[in-house]
Amino acid sequence: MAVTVENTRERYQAGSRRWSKFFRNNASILLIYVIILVVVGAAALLNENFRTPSNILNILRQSIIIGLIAIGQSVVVLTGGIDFSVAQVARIVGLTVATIFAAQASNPALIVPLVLLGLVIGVLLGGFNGLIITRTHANPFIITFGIASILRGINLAISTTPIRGIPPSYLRIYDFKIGIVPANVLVMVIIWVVAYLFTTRTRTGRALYAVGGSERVARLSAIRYNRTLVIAYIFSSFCAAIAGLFLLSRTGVGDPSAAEGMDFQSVVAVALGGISLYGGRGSILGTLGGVLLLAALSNVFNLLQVNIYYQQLFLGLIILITVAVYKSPRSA
Amino acid sequence: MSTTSGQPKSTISRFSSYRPSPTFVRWVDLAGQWAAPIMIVVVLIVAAVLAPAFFLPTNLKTLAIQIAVLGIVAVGQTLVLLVRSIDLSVSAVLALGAVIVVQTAAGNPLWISFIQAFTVAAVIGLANGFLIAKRQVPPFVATFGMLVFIQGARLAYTKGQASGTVPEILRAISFNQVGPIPAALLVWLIVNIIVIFVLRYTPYGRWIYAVGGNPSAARYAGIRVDAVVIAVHMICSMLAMLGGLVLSGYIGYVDLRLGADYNTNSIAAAIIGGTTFTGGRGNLFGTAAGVALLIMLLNLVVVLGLPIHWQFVMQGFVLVVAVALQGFRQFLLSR
Amino acid sequence: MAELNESNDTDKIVLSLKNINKTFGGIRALSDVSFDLREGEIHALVGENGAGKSSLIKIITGAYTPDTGTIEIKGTTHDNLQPSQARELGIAAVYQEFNLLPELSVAENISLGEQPLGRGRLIDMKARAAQAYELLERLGAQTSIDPNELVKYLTVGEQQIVEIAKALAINARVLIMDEPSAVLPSRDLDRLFAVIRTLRDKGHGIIYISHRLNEIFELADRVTVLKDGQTMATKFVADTNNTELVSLMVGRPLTDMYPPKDNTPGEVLLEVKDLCVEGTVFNISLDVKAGEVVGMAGLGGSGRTTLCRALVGLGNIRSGKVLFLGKSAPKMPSAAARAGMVLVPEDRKAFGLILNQSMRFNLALPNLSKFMRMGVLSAGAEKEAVQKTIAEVQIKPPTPEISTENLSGGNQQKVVVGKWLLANPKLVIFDEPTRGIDVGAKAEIYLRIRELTRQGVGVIMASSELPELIGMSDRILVFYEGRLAGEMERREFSEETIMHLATGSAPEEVPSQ
Repeated sequence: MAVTVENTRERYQAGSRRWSKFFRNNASILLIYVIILVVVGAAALLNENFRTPSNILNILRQSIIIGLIAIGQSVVVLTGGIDFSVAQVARIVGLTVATIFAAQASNPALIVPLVLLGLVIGVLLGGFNGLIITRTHANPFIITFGIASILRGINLAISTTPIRGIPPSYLRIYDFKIGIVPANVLVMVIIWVVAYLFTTRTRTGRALYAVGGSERVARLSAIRYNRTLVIAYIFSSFCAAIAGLFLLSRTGVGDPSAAEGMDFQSVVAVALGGISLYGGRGSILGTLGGVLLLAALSNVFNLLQVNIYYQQLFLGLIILITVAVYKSPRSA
Repeated sequence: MSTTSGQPKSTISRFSSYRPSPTFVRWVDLAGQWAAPIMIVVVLIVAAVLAPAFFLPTNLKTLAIQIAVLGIVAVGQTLVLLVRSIDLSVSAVLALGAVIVVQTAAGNPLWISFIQAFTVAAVIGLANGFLIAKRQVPPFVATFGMLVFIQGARLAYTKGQASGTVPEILRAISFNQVGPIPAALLVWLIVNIIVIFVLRYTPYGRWIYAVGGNPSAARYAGIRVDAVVIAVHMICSMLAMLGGLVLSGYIGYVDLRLGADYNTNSIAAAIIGGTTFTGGRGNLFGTAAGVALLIMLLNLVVVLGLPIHWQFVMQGFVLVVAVALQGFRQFLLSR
Repeated sequence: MAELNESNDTDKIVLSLKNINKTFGGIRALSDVSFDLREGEIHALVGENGAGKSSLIKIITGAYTPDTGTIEIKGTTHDNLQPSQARELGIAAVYQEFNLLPELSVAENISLGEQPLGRGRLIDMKARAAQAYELLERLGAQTSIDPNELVKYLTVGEQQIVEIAKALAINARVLIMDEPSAVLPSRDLDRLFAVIRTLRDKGHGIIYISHRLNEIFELADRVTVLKDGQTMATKFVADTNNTELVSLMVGRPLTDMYPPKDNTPGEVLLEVKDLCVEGTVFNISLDVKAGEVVGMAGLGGSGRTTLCRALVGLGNIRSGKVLFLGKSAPKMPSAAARAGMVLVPEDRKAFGLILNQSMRFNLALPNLSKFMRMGVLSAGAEKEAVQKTIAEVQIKPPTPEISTENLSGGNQQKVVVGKWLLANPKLVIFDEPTRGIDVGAKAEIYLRIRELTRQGVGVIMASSELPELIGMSDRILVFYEGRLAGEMERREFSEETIMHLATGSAPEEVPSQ
């Protein structure tokens, strides 16, 4: 509990007390990074294939797409909801852009407009989700689940086979390097920083915590409840759209099975990273840790040639254990 | 405990100046209650006009069996919704059923496989119920985690291959007819009759409605709320298992994609039929109507010659509309 | 009837209510109430539960609109005051349930939605903390609360101070404190008082609601007593004492509403020894005999409801013994009901009824085993029993299929009582049996209770209505702060004495009754 000291200013400088508070307040973030260190360290020691630089780079590269999606998902989870439509949004953006490229004979001049179009699609879909949820007071889990189903169907209607015809210059975007730093990593870092600033240093970002923490308190305050929710879902779909654009560049084709399973994975990454699935608690800093851990684990499993289905089993187990251990703060 | 606490009970109604007119509220409420039967009639008319092939005996048989399978799962989902919970793992359990029976039937007497299958289902339901009732995990999260886990387990076990032959008796149950009615439909009818009976004529049924309507009041009235929630989840999982067995009998082999959309559809069917997310309200007749409507819509997509992906669109659309409408209706009624 | 001490400098009056009337569904909550608050004063508001304090506060904060009467804030009359208006005019309230987000810091909670912006439209964290620090400094609490500390790590007392800081943040000139000491351990009381005095000295007007008279004498400048929705008196604290306040709070002519006490207590049904529950109830010992009505008096927070719930297995019993019919206490309500001990809870809508179900459903719910014929619920048996109960308890309208949410409060309560009557209990615990109920229904419930005692059933009745307790009980136990403050036999009953015990104050002179 709070300690009474003579002078608060003295407290700010009391070194050891500050450290213990730092640990206490950031426990979940620290935990995930410690776990990563342990896992990566163990794997590096035990498996020689793991510790090659190309493998490490591989892990990082595998994190990018899911990392982008997870950042968006974090924002929605902070409000106490889950956005199940992220994978389908990524997919539809990729397919739409690919289709137009193919129809326009791979015209490279279209790259910029189509990128913008992809982002707009993301924003519109997110806004749509947010509007339904706030206007009808319906359950956000089910609504995004249903929207995902609709989008899945539309995606299949767009195409069931890979769409070719992407201009080569677009393909280079993914591997584009500024000096030795890959552009995709840069974009992810930028988005991460933006999200971090958003959730810690803007009014709307802080409002997310209020909305997820207690609807009653949030509504009684100066916060605009509905607007905050809609913005959260727009951000999530926006990130998914970026992921979809990158995915298109990486695979080089419009893939009708793009981002499969990334809705589940993003939720696991977010939960692992210390953001409570109940909302109102946690930090974006942890999310990337969750993504890295998942990528590292997936890498380890692949190296050990573990069946990918066992990996999924493991994923589900993680979710179950996480929620079983951390009791809901809203227990009746 | 002070009576001078000034907090309004519903801050939501305090902060929106939206005042709906009573007739509007009445219309929305009625719409919610009668949506399913009306839509069924509409679908039948559309089918008669645009796609008479809908009414061919082979198609009707397909319809009947699909209604039976989804119907069985939806019964379990309805029960779970009645106690203010939800079960997203039903699709995985459904798929798991076929796997267990097929993989173990070879060399084992059939009834042992059945017992194994239902035991596994009961354990899954127990785990779900435990997490939800005793650890206060939000039902969506708990059963979602279970879904991912079971899917992984199943895929790992089968190594991703569709395999095995389905025991004859299952095929018989699903495929054969008793008079003009496919046996699967009979199974569904029997399940409905039993559950409706329990809901209406036994204390357990009353307990379910009480727990869903007001868990605290139910507890004060001497009902063992946790036990009811856990039991309901176990029944739901076992019914999902049964649905999976019937479905695999119909298809004839164990398919990797088995059970893909029984989650959204069972929930949508129950919601269309008037069951609420908030618990304590709903009945199996409504769910049956919801099931029939959904299956007919999906079937219509195929019969009209539309590509099969429109089924996904249809499913999602129906779910979103049903949930949005119901959420809105509840919101209006709460003022 | 009301003695108002008129202020001589009217320009110092920051809030003035005149002739306020408010009726809810036939029940008069406030009747010709006048109240004023000056700058730089702590004005206490006292009265029993249901005297009208909370209604008055809701009118001041704009949550309710009075039927007649005027509200003047700083000299300007406001018709139809809205909550947002009241906030802007500087009226803020701190209730027992805090509106804080535990996962956010003190500074964030205070400035939620209106955080100060710095460069690039980003929140200026330093300014935010400085703002919070400055507010805490105004309260004199800046040395003990760190603005960057997360609220969940603060004590209740500290959280309360943060709530007060929030009020200051919106420049509140009028601060309403609703039973603030009810949630505080005594060591934090001094700090709270210091904060309130600091605010008073800075010119704020504070309305302080409490039933602990000793606090009022320690803290307040003036006190207003409400009773049955009317202002009984407004006095300077220095001009009055405990006894006078208590007699203003209570003291009514007894009516004939209560059936004659012709019951004779039998053998002991329930024995409680040294019971401690959940850190709220301490060392309670009591017993209840068959055919006897044991009344429990006490004001908010005295622990009666916690005790009642614990008896049927709904609380954390830390130590002590409970013996019902010689056997140890039931651990769950289902076991308690089977053994014959039932609870009619305080909040009938939240805990007593399944509102979206019919009367019949609710009445039958704890009694389903009685209607089983050949393993199945018999609709006929159920209907018969339900009709009988409806007639017995006089529920109107006597149609069993009506949904309980459409019933009046009185009839809803009758359903709750009826369902347990049907269960043939041996001991019935009533927690506020007639709260929010019209007079006719009240009389009928009293008749039921008397019937029960004639049949040898034991009754515990926890109530805030002193006349009811005196009219119905054979013995009265008075609770204060989770302990037994006193026990009275029938011949000793007096509203004054009960109120003295319930407010923790000793009578300064024994009034001749």
